[in-house]
Amino acid sequence: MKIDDPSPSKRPAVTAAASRFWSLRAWRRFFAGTVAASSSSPLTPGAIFRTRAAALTLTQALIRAFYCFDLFLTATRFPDFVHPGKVPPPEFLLWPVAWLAWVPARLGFAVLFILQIGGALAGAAACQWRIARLLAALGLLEWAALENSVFKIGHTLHLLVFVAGLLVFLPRGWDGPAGAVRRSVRERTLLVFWTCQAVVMLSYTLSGLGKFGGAFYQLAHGQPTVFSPDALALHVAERLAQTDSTSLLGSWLLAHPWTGWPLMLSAIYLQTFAFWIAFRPALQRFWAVGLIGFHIGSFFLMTINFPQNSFLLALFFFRSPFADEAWPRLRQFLSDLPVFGAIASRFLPEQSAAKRRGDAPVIPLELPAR
Amino acid sequence: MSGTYTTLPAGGKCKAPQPAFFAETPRDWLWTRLSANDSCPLCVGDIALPGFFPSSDSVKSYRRLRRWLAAFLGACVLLGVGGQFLNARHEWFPFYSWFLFSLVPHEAVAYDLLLHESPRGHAVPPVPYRLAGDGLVRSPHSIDLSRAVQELGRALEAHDAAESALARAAIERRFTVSPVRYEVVKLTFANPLERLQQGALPRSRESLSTFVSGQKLRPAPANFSASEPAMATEAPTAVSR
Repeated sequence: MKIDDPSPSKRPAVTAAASRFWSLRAWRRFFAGTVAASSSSPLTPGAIFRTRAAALTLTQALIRAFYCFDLFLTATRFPDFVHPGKVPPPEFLLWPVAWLAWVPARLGFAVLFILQIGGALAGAAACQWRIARLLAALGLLEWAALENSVFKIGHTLHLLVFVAGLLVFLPRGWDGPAGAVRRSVRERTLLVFWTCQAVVMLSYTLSGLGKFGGAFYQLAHGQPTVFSPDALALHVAERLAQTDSTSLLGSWLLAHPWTGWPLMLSAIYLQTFAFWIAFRPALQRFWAVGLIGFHIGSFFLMTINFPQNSFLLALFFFRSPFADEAWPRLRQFLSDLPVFGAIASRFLPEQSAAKRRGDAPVIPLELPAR
Repeated sequence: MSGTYTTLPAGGKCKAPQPAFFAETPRDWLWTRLSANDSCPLCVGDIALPGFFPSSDSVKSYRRLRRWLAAFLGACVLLGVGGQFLNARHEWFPFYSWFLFSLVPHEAVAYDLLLHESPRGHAVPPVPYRLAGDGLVRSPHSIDLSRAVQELGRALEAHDAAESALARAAIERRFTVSPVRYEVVKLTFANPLERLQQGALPRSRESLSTFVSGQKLRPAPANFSASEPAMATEAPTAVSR
């Protein structure tokens, strides 16, 4: 055998590892784990077709709801567009609105106004057309860039921009009757929508991983970390001091710093494993409830509000197209939990037996590899 | 039915080589059927008829889209985290690391802005900007303004002229009148909890610099800041415990 032509069996381990790294299937397996079979896992072609068609119908409705929300949000921000004097200095302009430095302020604002209003209207009224979705995405991008072209960038609009941008890639004909939509169009539509779900969850996972990174850094420097019992109280104190404000529950938490410990640990768990949940449909509803609760708690403790994110979580995950309509059984919920699911599975003999029988679940959006 | 369909091994993960991968999920089982040219009641699209499944253009476009979307998710991570080190904003819009509240505030150091004199012909006592009211500072409780003050304080301590100029510009745009004389002070607390619970009473206070808004971002004359009276509404000028 030639040295430079090794057989697959003698392929170097590094090459095999690299191959696994670039395999989307391997990543999907990593995040999905051995998810439990849902109560209604269909095994017949007809049942599979009906499941996917129903998922498409629901996805179409959710996408339209997203564009209606974009229009609502735009309408509530009209006052922001009537103050052309609010154009930031050129050095503060983010790249999507850098062109404002070369045009008169009134003209620039007029263009932004028409783009955002027109794009939101077009998206809500005719999102079946890609040009309408593109306009809506551009309007959101410009709006978010203008709003954040001040000293510090806020992050309430980022996910809306990403979702609107992803929805531009919906295939032609995605909005037809589910039974008549071609299978490839249906699957690509579901894939794009799943990516929207994933990018929302990815933001929370990055936030959670950032907390772990910060904890390692502070631990190495002998400082309190996010896992310290009074970490939440310190955050609340810092925030309220910075803004010289009060919150509904902040003063109570500062008087009882230890009560924030379980809240902080729960938030870190929910955030860190949020991306895993994109691959575990049975848990999506629970995670959305938890993360929305986290946002509500953040408001009552630190006056930080992310209403747009809460809406996206509710829209995309309360009735996910990839999850059963019924709430999952407790056994399925426990065994699907990241990290803790592996422990819980040891005490769930019936589920293990089901797995041994080969009751594989329906994992969304996975086509066979070549 | 296709002969490639196999049952899953124990544990739910398919370890068999291809094409047994096709049988990993029920939907894969369905694709397997289609790929084998079986007659199928679900041939409503362009995938199943006729020909071998993987060579279909539709499937290729699906896989291409899937690769692009996966790359997008990867880019969100790489550009978001990498953007932390790109510029002063710590992000490359709209990609963001989402590292929010990653570090627990432990430093008991904070910077504050004392307003000394307004341009309306009446001098104001040295008053923290948050207490100056909307007549002098627009949205004085804004978190953005608070961050700008902290950035300015850090930049002054680090003698970073560019950063301090940026921070000053952000701060001075908040002044509703001009010029305004203001002083940047460094306050030291035991910890954030103490800082809040003790009514913003610092252990010590140190003057960093004094500026006049709208004056080419230059520090004010040296004879200005040293002889100012003590803070009118907050802690004494220099407190030591």
